[in-house]
Amino acid sequence: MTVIARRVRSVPVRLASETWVTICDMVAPIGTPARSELDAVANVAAMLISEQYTADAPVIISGAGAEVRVYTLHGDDAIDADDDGPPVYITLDGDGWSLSLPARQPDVNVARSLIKSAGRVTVRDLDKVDDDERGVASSHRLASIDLEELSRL
Amino acid sequence: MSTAVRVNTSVYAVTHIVGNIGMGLKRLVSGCGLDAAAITRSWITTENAVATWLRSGHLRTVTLEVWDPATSDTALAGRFDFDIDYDYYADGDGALWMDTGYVNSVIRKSGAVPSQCSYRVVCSVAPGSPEVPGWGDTTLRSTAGMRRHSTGTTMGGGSLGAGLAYWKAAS
Repeated sequence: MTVIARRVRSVPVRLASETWVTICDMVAPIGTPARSELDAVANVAAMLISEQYTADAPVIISGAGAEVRVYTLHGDDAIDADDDGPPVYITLDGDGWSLSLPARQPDVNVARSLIKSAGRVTVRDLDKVDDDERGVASSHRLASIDLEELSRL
Repeated sequence: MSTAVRVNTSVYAVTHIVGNIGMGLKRLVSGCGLDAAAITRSWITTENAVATWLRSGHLRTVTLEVWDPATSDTALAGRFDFDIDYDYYADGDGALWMDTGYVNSVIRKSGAVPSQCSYRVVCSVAPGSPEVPGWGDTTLRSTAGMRRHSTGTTMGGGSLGAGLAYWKAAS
């Protein structure tokens, strides 16, 4: 799977709501059905960006070719960045795409209660490891270093 | 040798204050045990208003009013004010800062409110402020019988700062 990562400047370079618009502009042109769905969750997305969940965990956009992972930059990181990176050349169309917003409790419940978009936009709880992340974790365990053995060398 | 140049414009200061007032309001709501859905539902409207009136210099105070509809629609159960200071630290280095621990401290000092309380955000602006969609004139609930406690400046950037005060029943 091809993964494209971008880091979008947020507060104080731009407001959280403007940050969400920037992310939407990357993948969903104004006037498209996908953009309407993303606009419908703008308040929730802006709140989660304000809480900086997206600084450490990406907004994950998938199902439209390459997976796009968008992080947000805040504070000095945002000021120091020159730009938001090159275009991703991905356009969300059809019904196959999905977008996952990161959050932690109690904001997970708040965000989920407000999002109603046919399941394409979801909120993932960063404190609950899903199946994919478990796969990554187990891979990491296979590659772990046995320090006891190492000390015998 | 390299030289780092930090451009810290007033635009950054405004955005910094807007972002942190929004986050502060929401954390006060959550910290009081209230449902943050309402403030999240109007996140962009609130952000837009605070940004517009801060940029125009008309914003004076952003207030979170809390009341218990089971008791009275007019009597306050709690109130928090973010007071804007346009002459905060004009001669400073322009650093953007925020006291991250102030919300818990203020909630602890202000006392508990019933979980069924309702709340709203009210912006107090100077005359001549620009119109912002979704916002109209209103009147703040009476603070009779309550006392205002200032906790000092909680965030700042350049000449712009915001302090937080809470209202508590006078004992």
